[in-house]
Amino acid sequence: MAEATQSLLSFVGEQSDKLLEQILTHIGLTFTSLLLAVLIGLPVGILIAHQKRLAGTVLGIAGVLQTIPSIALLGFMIPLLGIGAKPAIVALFLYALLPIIRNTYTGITNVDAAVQDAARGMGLSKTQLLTKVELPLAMPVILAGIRTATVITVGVATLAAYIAAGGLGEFIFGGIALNNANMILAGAIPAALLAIVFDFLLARVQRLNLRQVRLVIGALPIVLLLLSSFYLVPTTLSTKLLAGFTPEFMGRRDGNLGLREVYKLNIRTVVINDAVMYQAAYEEELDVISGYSTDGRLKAFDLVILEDDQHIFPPYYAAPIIRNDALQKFPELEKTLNLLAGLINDSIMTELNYQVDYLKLSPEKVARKFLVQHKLFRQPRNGRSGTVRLGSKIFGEQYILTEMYSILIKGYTDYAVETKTGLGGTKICFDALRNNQIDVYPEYTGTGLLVLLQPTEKELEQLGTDQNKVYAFVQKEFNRHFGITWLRPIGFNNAYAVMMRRIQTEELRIKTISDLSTYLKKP
Amino acid sequence: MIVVDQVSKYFGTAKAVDEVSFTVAEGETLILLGTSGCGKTTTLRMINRLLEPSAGKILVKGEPITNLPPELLRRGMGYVLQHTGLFPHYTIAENMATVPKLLKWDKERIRRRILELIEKIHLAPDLLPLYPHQLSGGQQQRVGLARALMADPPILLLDEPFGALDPITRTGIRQEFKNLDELKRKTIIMVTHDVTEAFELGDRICLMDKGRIVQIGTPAELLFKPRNEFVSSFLEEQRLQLQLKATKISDMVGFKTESLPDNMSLWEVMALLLSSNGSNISFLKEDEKSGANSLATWPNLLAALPYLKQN
Repeated sequence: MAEATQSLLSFVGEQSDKLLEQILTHIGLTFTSLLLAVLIGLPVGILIAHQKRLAGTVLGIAGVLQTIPSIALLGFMIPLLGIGAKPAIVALFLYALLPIIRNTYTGITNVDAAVQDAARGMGLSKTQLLTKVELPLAMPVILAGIRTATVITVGVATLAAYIAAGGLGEFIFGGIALNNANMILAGAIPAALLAIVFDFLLARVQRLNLRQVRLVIGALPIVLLLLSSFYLVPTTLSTKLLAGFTPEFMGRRDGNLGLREVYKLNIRTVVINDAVMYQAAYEEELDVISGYSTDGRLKAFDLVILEDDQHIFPPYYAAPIIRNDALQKFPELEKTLNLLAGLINDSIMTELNYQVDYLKLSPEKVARKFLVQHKLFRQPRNGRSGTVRLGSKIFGEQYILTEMYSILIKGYTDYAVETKTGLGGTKICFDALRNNQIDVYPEYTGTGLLVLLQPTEKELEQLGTDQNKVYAFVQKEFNRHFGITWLRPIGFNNAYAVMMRRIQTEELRIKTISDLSTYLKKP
Repeated sequence: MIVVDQVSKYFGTAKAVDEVSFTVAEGETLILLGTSGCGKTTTLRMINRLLEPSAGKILVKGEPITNLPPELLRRGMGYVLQHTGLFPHYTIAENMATVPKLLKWDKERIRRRILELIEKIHLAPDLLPLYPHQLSGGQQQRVGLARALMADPPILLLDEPFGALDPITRTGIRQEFKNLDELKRKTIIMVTHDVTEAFELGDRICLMDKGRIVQIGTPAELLFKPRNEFVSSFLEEQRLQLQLKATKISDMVGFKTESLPDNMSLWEVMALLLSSNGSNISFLKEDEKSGANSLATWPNLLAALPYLKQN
């Protein structure tokens, strides 16, 4: 691990191109959404300030939009608008809307009634009243709304990385997935700085006197447009095919880095959350995706795995890992967890995943059915001698395994079970295990090797892609470094894989990753 | 000049103004007097169409006011409010230039008019680049009046123009207002709840209650020929003062004085007496039977007041 430690500055130095691209994208996303929100929110706010009957309804709707969790809102956008900038901008726009509408409304309704009266009494038309009196007087409040919206949008825009819209979230989520603190900071610090800088600038604008504000109102649309256009800068470079990789895959040696180094694969990539990646490939928004070889959605979306002919993906045999002190505390546990060892091969796991990911059966049901079939199911004993805390990462296969372990522990031992599913990524899951927040979770040998141990090039070469050598290595090193034991592998190998639509591979005659690389090099 | 004919205004089922009719002659000042909620402000706001009447019609110079778009109508009527309504984001000069700009005057004409008016209302020209909040209440009120006068509209609508001022400032500005030559030619309708103010400034007073006109007439008519109990009780508190104010020397049948003009009110005479110790002012009382003149005393004068009712 020590050799992998590098300073934040050197990371930023190495990745400066990417960082710049992400910052530009981030600013672009933020201000495109903000521009839209001002264009829509301002007139709506003006309208409801004059048609007070509508105010309650409109503010209510905008308020409800605001309460939808941002990640869920992004999720809602995918079926409607696919992936990429469009849904991200729409989601961010919806978030920015409420503060702008509300402040415009408040600003105008709070203009002194006597002033409005005098203006009308002197013969100002409705438009003149609005432009000469109401808007100038409401402007400080409206600007405060835009300021709030800006800060919210800069923050939420980090989530855009989940749906291939880019931005600083790429580093943040990549860093979380890869256990790379420098990467997280390289994304988080600029994101925070952007929020602070824009907040500061808008605060300055707010404090200008009324005459200067008139100037700013003129300049504001131009500045917004300019900043919005930043989004277009990085997208000018493109290749024949578009790849969508998870943040984790982007930064891994047995991922995008390996593809570039070993296969010389030169393809435009976007970062995307694996929950929507398969669908996006199916809907032809992406051509090449990273995935897991046992994923049920392979079958569901008619995708095929490109053969790893240069062997960059090490084996990913799944096995429960457990803290040594938990093994001692729960002596029955090892035996019970090993009941699954060697029982589930690749095709069984794919089938089980298919049932959960595509047929939408609950992981609990799928797990129980499988155990009943294999005569492993026993009624829970409702024991009370201690509680085993099971963790899982945030995808279907882990949920299924956790459910199986839960049923087995309840049936075969007197321990109670508490499950903590949906831990965001490898780093979060592993930290939870080390910090005694969970006792056990299923991990993959490849992940243990490359993400958690991060061995030297030489060690890696010696290990190669040999299943047994890798297992022995992680078994030994985890014990030594972390006091954590790898129990026996479950049987399937859920390696990383590069996938494409079956029809497209047939059209382009691509079978291996090398074929893909050759195809992309052709002019 | 202004004819209000059978005008009513309902807010929901409540009658704010109920079949009100009156006319205002050119150059006349009519005061709409009454307690809060009597419908006087509502009546005023219907004349410049800030409110539309529910029934009835209003004519200005013989034309229904609905013949013009409201904006154009209003540009021909100055409008002054209790809380000035000065634009806080405009300087004094910009505030005053509002209507002329709407009328597309050129800059030089606006500038000259501003300087002319600011002098008439006794404000220093160095206030012009300031913002309203930098001025005192009295100064703001003067600017509000000046703003309404800028384009020299023939009609002026005033809604409690001195209502927000302290009594001393108020009396001062009222005096200035009376003497302002710009106002002499104007047709003015002014809303107030202040009886003294109404009697001081109004040619005629229209006393309103519960949306209806109780009595309309000259100050003296209201005082000495009240139509009903409401009118006399409304004026009761300041009766003596009002009587003295409403009564001109020429009204005092049987009395005369040589050193003072006939149209001076008794109130003004008293003020004069106070300031000069009354040494050189004297009234002569004419004996009804003999026609001989004798020196009159104040008790003589005051005793004569109630009998004015009959005249």
